[in-house]
Parts: sequence; C-alpha cells; structure tokens
Amino acid sequence: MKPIDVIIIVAAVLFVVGVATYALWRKKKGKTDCGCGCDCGSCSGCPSAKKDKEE
Amino acid sequence: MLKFALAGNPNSGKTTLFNALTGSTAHVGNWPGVTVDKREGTYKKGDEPVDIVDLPGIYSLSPYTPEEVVARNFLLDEHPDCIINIVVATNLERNLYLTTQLMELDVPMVVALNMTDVLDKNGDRIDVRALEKRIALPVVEISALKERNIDLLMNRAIEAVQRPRVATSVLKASVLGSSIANAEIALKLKGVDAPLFHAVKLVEKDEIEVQSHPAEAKAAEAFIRENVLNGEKLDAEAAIADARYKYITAHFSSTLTRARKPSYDELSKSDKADKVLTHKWAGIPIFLVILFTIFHLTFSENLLYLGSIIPAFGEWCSVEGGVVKQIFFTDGLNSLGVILFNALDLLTSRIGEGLGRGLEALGASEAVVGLVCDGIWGGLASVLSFLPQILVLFLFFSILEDSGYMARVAFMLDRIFRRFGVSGRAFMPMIMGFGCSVPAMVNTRTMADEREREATVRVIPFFSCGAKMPILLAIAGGIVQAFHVGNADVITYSMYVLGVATALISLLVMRNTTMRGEASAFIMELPTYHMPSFKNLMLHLWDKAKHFIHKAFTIIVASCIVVWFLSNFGWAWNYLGKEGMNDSILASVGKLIQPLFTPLGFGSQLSDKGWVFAVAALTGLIAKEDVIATFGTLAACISAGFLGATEDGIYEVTVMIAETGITVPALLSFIAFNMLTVPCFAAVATAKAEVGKGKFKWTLLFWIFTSYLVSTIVYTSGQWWWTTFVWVAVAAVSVVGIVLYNQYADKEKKS
Repeated sequence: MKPIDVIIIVAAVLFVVGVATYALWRKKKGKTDCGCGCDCGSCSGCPSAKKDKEE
Repeated sequence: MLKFALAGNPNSGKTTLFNALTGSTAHVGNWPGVTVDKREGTYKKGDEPVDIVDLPGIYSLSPYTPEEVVARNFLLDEHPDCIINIVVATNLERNLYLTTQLMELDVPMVVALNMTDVLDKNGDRIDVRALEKRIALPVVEISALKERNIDLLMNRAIEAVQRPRVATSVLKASVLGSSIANAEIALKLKGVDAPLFHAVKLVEKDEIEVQSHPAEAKAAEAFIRENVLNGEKLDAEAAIADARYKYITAHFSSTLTRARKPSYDELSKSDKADKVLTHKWAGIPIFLVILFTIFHLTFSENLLYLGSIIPAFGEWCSVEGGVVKQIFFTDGLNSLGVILFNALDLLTSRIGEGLGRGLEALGASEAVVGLVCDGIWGGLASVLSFLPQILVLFLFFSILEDSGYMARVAFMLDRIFRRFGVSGRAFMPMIMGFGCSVPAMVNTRTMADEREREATVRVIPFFSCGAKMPILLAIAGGIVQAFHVGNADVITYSMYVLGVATALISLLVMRNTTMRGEASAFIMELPTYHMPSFKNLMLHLWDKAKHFIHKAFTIIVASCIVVWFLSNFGWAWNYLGKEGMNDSILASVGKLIQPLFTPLGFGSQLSDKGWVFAVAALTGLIAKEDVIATFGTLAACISAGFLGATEDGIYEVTVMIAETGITVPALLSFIAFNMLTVPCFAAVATAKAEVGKGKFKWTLLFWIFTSYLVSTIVYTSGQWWWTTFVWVAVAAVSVVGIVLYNQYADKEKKS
C-alpha cells in the first residue's frame, strides 16, 4: 500500500464517520434531519428547527 | 433588544417586508397561507438592532386554523414592543378591518401601507396625513417588493415605541359599545392584560375568551340581553363586524381617491385572464396542458417533436457526433433541461476520467482508484447531473406560483377535490410537495379540519419531490435508451400523474373509512396576477440548489463510500474488486431481501445482478437521491467489470439496468415504489410531528402498503395486460365493501 492509498482510505473513513457523527449531533440538538442547515426558506415551521430554538 | 411584530392579512407582503428588513431569504409566494409559523430575524441598519417577528397572515384576531392561533398568541402573550401592521394600499377597507382589532391592544403600532407602487400605477392616491389623523397611528407608505421607505418605516416604529399607546376601539359608539365598556371594567378589575381587546372578544362570544373568562362572558351576555336586545335577536359577531366596516367606510374610505370610478361592468386585466384560465370547463384542461408543456420544455430530447415531424432531421440527430451535437441534439432538438443535463454529464465524465488518470499517475492502487472514481465520483456525478433539470422545472413552478396562477388552480380544483373528501386548500401544500415534503407537511396547518389535515399529510409524499426526480429521470431515460420505448418527458409526466392519482384515490378511501368527514369550507382571496419578481425566482432556485448540493456532498458522498466498500469487499473483509461483486457483502444483503420485491417485478425474477434494485430501494430510505447514487456507484463497477463498457456517466446506469434482465413494466413499478414508499428521514420526522406519535405508525404502514400495492398493479398490468381486469374487479369489490361499511357505520352512529 502506497501513502496515497492510505491517505485516501483514511480520508474516506473519516468522512463517513464525520457525516454520521454530525447527523447524530444535529439530531441530539433537535435540529432537522434534512441537512438543510436550518436556513432553508421554509424552515421556520419545521418542528425540529423549533426544538432547537427552544433549547 | 426591541421586538417588532409584522401583522397583516394573508398575502399582504409581510414575508417580503421581513426579508427586506432582515436580509433573510424566507420563502415568499403569491398566495395566502405561505407562512404558517412565526419567523424571527434582526434589523441591523438602525442605531440598535431590532428583533423582527414575521407572523402568519390573519384576517381577524378570532382564529380558526392553527397558524392563526400562532399569530394571536404571539400578539397577546409575547408583548411585542411595536406592531407593524401591513395594510395593502390597493385594498384599504378590507385590510383596515384587522387594524381596527389591533388598535384594541395596548401596544404601540405603525401602519405600513404596502404596494403603494401598484396604487401609483393605477393613478390612485391615499391621503396619508388624513388617514394618520383619523386612525391616530403613524402611517408610512412603503413598497416591500421594491424596498421603498423601509428605513423610514423602522424609524417611525422606533419613535412609536417611545410613546406608550392606550388601546382604543372603533366600536365605542356602536350598539354594543356599552356592553364592551362594562366587560372591560370587569376584566380590568380581574387584572387581565389588554382588557379592551378581551372585552370586545367576550361580547363577540369568541370561543377562546368564553372559555377563559366564563363568569364575565355570562355577565356580558346577560347585560346585552337586558340592555341592548329588548327581546330582539342579535348575532354579536356579525354586529361587531358590521360596526367595524361601517366605521371604516365612514371615517377612512374618503382618504382614498381613485383616478377612475370602478365600474362593475369593466373587467381588470386579472379578470380578463381569469375568464380563460379559470373557466369552468376549460380551466383544468388548460392547467394540464401548461403542466405538460413545462415537462416537455424540461425533459424532452425531441423538442416540439421536430425529430419525428422531420424524419431527416431526426436521423441526423441520432447519428453520433461531436460535443455540440451530443449536448444539443439527441432524438431531435433537446429541451433546455436536457441541454444543461448533457453538458453537466459530459463535464462530470471528464472530471471522472481526469481523477482516474491523476490517481494512477500518483501510483494509487486499483482499489483506491475504484473507490474514488467509481465509488465516490460515480455516485455523486450521477446525482449532480440532474441538478439543472430540477432547477429548470422549479423555475417554471416558481413562475406559476409567483404570478398568482397556482392560487387559482387551488380554487379550480376545489370542485374536484371535494369529491375526494378534501377542500381546494389541500392543493397548496400538495404543490409544495413537488419541491420538498417537509415544508409541504408543515403547510397543512392552514387546514382547519384535523382529519382532513392528517389525510393530506399522509398523501404529500406521493407528490414526487425534487429528491425523487433523479430516480424518475434516470429510469425514464433508461427505458428510452435501453428499450427504445416512449419519450422521457411523457414517461416522467405519466409517473407524476400516477402519484397524484394515487394521492386522490387514497384520500377518497381514507375520507370514507378511517378518516370520515366532509371537506371543510374553502375561502381564499385570489391574488392579482403580476409579473414574477426576478429576485424571488432566483431565491427559490438558490434555496433548492443549495439544499441539493449540500445533501449531495454530505449524505450522498458518505453513502457512496459505504456502498462501494460493501460492494467491493466480502464477509471475510477480503477485497473482491469489480469482478467479484456478486459475492460481496452488499450483494448478499441484496439477494436476501430481493424476493420481497418479486411481486413488484424487480425481485427474484431478475438475473444475478438484479440485487442492485433491492439495495437501491433500501438506500433510498436514507435520502431519495441515494437510489440513483447507489446505481451510479454500482453501475460504474458493474459496467466496467462485467460488461467492459466504455461509456461514462449516466449511460453506465442504463447499461447496468439492461443487463439485469428487467422489463419496462418492472422499471415503471420500481419508479412507482420509490415515489410512493416511506419518504426520507426528514419527511418521516415531520410527519411524526404533524400527525402525532400515536397515529404515526398507521401513516408508516399506509405508505408501505400503498407503494407495494400500486407498484404491483403497475408491474402486473404492464407485464400481463389481462391482470388489469383482476385489479378492476378488486377495486369494484373494495368500493362495494366501503359503501357497505359506511352504511353500517352510519347505523351504528345513529343507534
């Protein structure tokens, strides 16, 4: 295995873990699951976004 | 920090003003009921920041629907420092009805006369000084759309905050004036906040007030009976509304000078357009033609069917050529959506090739090149390629919405929707469902009847959202390319129609069985037609593109990586490569669940590569774009590994689909299943919040059952035409069953 292989595989694994952790963190914080970053035009009425505000 | 509330009638421009004040990009639509919950932002241009709260539109402070409750509760409970009441200048009298109610609150207030640009255009004029004097409130002429006098409005509002305001009522001189004064004294003694407002509502017999102050309500009723009625009958609510309008006509209407006296015989431009577009018989067919034209302009590879009309041109187009020919001509002249799609597909293919060469030059191993080029880029590119078509389609939808046409379609469909148990009000959330199910489900809060609302929430995912579009387009394209059947635009349009038909039939069944009830009344103010604002259109598109790209570069990329690993490694965690994919972890999982889809046509009857459909349907539960991303990842491996195909991009998906041995009816069934089954995680969470935890499990079962049934019908009817008669018989028996059930239920109810 060459360094480039190791770098890419580690980056891919970290990316997947990162996305999963971020999604779980957002869920725990009560943010939306849709990944819109809570700034979508119709977000204000979104039940999950509300939970975040209340916190 | 100061807190100002924006209150006004629906579709008066509150959200446009909110965006102008706060620099937000909240969704604006030319129809009443776009905003269903309060939304906050900050005005930063003044000496100190001001919190701006955009409230849902209300006609009065007596709420009927959940979003009207939100507005009333905020104004009464959250004590804003100032109310900015948006009044449509072109419809002064009707808008001032709410103003006369807001005046009954002890809150500083400013009237923002919006759409004065339209007033100027008509040559009409409002004497602002006279209005200000008579209404005893600051009045500022603004144009929220053109951001005219916005800062002046804020300065007047900040000035108003410095002067505490005493509540006044225009009803004091009315027949119920003494009753209101009495009730006000009683509520003041009780220590109630905003006693004048509550006193008016008590006399009006407002349900919420009567429940909150039962003793005072009884006393007010007795007072009216003894001192006002003298044995006569009186509808207090109607009497108060009448008194308000009489006062408005007498005191405020004269401030408006019209350039020309309105004639009842003379039709405005909007009226003239409506004569055709909302015609009793022609209205719906015109709408269907407009929709088909939109689909044709977005998805057709044979624009205006020129390639078929002029055979020589069609033949020339189908012969392979250079880059320009590839982009602009497929079966004829391509539509705008297809041109952009082809260009992006070509670009992503070149990037993919470049990535492969770059990695090989760096000495990366075959597996890593496969991970990056086939796994990540193959999946991502297959989804991203559809972005232009999604944006073109939503541009057309936004134009229809912004022009005011969609509100008219809701009005026209009310007649038809009533037969299915819901009112035309359900159409607006449904049409929003074409964009995204999440805001669409939230928007059902504008519906007053709870059962009708729940039924609508359930069927919203059947209106194919933007995320499902890549599935539709890729498979429709696959059917045309691999089987030479039909046109991509016709197939896509038909699948959209299938979704709508399933929604309507489901509504009919629900509203006659588990969610019985009459459709509620539907009253909607039709907005005047206007040219869509370029800024609003671009904001709508930006919103959609941002969401799509964000999702593609996070969840979709992560899913592609996982799919690639699982499809290239065996249970012993040994690298199998493209050639060994059929023994991979993913293949074994796919083969395990594959029989479940046999009645739907994409199960065990397919070749040894058929498991890809089962796997794609599964990954689609995370995000619908994942279906095609999974196809993209797997196709990049399968096409290269098994088939030795040299084609790039989405064509690989077509090659893979053809290799599985799947038939056209099964492909249509696959689209139907993904379109109708359990939506993405976000929509599932929203549905759970909107229908409640208890009823949610039934909603989930409803989605699974409906998608399975409809897909089975699509597959079997397409594969063996005679089964159509079996399904018709089943439908007839079901109708008889429902009628008998209803008769039984009615008897039970009566007894």
